[in-house]
Amino acid sequence: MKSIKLKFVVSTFILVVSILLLVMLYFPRQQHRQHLDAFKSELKVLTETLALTIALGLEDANYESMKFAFDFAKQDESLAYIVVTDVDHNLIASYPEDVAFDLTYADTLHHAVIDGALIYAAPIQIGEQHYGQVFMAKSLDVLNQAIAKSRNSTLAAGLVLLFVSLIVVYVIATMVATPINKLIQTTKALAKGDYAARATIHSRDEIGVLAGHFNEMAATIESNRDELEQRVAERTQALVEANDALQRNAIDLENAKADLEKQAAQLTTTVQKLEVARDAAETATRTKSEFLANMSHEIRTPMNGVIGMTSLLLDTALTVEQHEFVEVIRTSGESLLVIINDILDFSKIEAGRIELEEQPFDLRACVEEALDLVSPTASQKQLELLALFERGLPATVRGDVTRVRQILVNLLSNAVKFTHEGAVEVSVQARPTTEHACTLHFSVRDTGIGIPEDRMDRLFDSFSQVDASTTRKYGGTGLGLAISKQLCELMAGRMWVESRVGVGSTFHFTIAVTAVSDQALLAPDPDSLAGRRVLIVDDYETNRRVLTRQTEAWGMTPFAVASGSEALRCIEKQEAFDVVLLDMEMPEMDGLMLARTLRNQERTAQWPLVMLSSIDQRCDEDEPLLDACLNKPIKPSQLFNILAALLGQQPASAARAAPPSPGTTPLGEQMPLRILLAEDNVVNQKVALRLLERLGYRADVAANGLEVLAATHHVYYDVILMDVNMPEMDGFETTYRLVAKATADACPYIIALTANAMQDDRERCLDAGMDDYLSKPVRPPELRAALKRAAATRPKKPVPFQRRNKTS
Amino acid sequence: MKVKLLSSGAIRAGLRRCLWMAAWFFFVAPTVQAQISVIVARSSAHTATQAQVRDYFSGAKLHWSSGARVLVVDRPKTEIGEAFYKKLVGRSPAQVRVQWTKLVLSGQAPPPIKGMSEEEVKKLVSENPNAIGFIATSALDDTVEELIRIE
Repeated sequence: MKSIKLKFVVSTFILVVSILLLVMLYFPRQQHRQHLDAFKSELKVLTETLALTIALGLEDANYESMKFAFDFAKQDESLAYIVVTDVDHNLIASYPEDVAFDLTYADTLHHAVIDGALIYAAPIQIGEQHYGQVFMAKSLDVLNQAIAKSRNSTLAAGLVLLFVSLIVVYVIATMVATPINKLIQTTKALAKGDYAARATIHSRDEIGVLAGHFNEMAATIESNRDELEQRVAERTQALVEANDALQRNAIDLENAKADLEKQAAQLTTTVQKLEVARDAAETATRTKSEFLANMSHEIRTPMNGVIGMTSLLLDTALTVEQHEFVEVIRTSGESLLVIINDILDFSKIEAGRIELEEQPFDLRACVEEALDLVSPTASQKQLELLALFERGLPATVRGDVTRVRQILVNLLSNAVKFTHEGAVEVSVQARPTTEHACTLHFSVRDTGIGIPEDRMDRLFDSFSQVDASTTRKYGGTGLGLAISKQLCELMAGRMWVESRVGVGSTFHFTIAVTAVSDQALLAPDPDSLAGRRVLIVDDYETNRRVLTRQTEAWGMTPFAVASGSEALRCIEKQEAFDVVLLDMEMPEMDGLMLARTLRNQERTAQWPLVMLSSIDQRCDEDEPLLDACLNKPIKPSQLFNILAALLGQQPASAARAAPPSPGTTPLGEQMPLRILLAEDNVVNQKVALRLLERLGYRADVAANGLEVLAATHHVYYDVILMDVNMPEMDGFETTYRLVAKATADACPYIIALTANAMQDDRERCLDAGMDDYLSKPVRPPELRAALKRAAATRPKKPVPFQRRNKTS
Repeated sequence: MKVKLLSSGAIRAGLRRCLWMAAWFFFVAPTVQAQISVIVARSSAHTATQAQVRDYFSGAKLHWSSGARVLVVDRPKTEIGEAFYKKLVGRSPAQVRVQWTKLVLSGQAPPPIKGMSEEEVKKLVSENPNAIGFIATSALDDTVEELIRIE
């Protein structure tokens, strides 16, 4: 324990020793300096006296005085040596005689300490004449002895001081520490529980006061303790009671837990039962959809025969009456097919089994294909078909092209169906939502019969049409709009309608897509069309509006007039036009008449003229009056290409880009292909063969997969039309084997033929290695398009004729 | 022309030189040219060359060739002393005495005797056969014998 006493003594010891050390270090040094100064002056006097005596002696040859002075100097008790030299540092005299003195010091010395001796040098000099030097040295031993003696006495005095002060401090410390120790003892006793302990200190200093307060405190603690003990006893009693209550609760909880476990066990049993039920339900659903797929297949296979054969029958020589009957059969068949497809789609959507594709597709092509499908009907009813693409549309978007087209075809065919005169117009807008995603807004406007307001809300319900009479008059299942609406909602969009009875309806729908590239659809090239003046001659107002807006979008300056005479007046007033767009069919003066008139005028003879005609009034491409012909509906891309070509910015070959007319040249002559048909059903074999024949192809036939493999072993085929469901070896298996066997460029182009119109079938086919897919019943345009795609993948070289002969 | 000029300049320089030489002979030569005689006792048999005499006075040699100790008579603080040591040793008297101090303080030789006047020197020399001193030649007499004369 570091007591106060010890601290006092130690600190005093340190203090005294420090002072002592300081004194012993400082005073001897001071003393030494003083002694040395005295020594120096003494030595100086002695040396200079000797030197002067010798100098005077030399002057008057007084050798006795020199000797006396020399001997006198020898008497000094601390003398170390005397050396006298001449001016050339030769030794004249020295004491003691054998002194070791280095005469080379002679010039530098004045006062110095060398080898423990203090040296002084004085010149022997009379006036300016030097005769030599006197060196005298005193030993410092005496000095050092004196200093050592004084140090010893200082040390002795210091030790005595140290001893005395330690005693004094010890006594004082004891006086302070004793009462404190007493206080400590009392505190200890109090801490151990002896609350009666009191400190007995009677001094009146600070410690005495402290002890008094301490005793008061102890008294207070003693009284508080009694009170506390009483309270603790009370609380302890309360705790014991609470503990008993808790134990009782715990027993209740145990019982409750047992009950819960019982219930949990019951729940598990219920869940197991439910799982069994669920599995059963799922199996039932699966069975149902498989049944649907089967039904689809079973219905489509005979339908294929009916439709294919009737379309072939129409090409044979028939009486007018027969032709009408066959036409009705074909139309009915196709209607039936549409109904079957609708029902299939609807059931799939209801079952939540529809899966959307996420493929990039050409937005413009999608709309134009939909227009193509309804254009024959529209043309028959003399309806205008228009498409308007707003600025800023993405060229390519990612989504399900089949479904978008399906919705468009549905709305367009409805519009055409319910419109007796006027026009049907499709417009597409894009509203960007994020950097890449955007919402496409399609609207299909017609000038048809319109929908009464009270029926509009039920329009999108399934199996619903405006009323029963509508069904009778126009046919249809009433499923189309319901399916379209649901497809829109699947594509994160919605569908709604605006309509006025007798004026027309506009169906709107939106879908969310992501743009694949930043390239905007039909982005106008400012160099090619900007600033060009175009005259639009069309009697139909909507058509004029569409053409005006479209050409304005390309930076052109359009002038629109409603008739030929108005056009001629406009040409007289205006200076010149770069190009004229003419509608073929106009009252008063039709397009051809106007063209003839313009060609006959000198000023307008060289103007490019573009004729716009309906599909069944195809203008003669060789007509010398015209520079280009376009069939309605006018596709903006076609119009752009033709205008750009005519105005000198595009290759001239594009100028006469009229759509190819089917039937003029058989496809088989344009694109020769060797085709193998794999089909087990004899009726379907015949149908397919006749369809191919009409396209100008002769095909070999295989009845199953094995026959296909055998045939391809001997002969190379460009295209295999592969039925998926065949006996012996089905289409998938056959395709696997063909692909595995063939090298990349020698593999035939395999087109699947399937009666299952399910989406997953299509994916299955493509996964198996097939290149394309056609669903039965096979329609001639689809087959034609598929063969064109096939031909595009084939090498360009012409087919060697010899090999063809061998195979047949 | 040239001859005339040359002859008149040479005549003028020659005249000035003659005047300076006359002044030197009349005023300077008598004091400086005073002759000093080194003397010994008449009874002394000692002889010495001028080099030996120089050694004796400068303390380089302490004994006569016969072996007897030389007793030098010095004449401190006198004009003749100054002149004598300058002529004989080529040093001042005090410089010569430094060597004597060495001899005296080391006890190798007794200090030289001092003779202040001509008479005192002659007396000291004549009384001591081993003594050697110097006086002005003009003060020579028959009490002493001239050993050498220093011009």
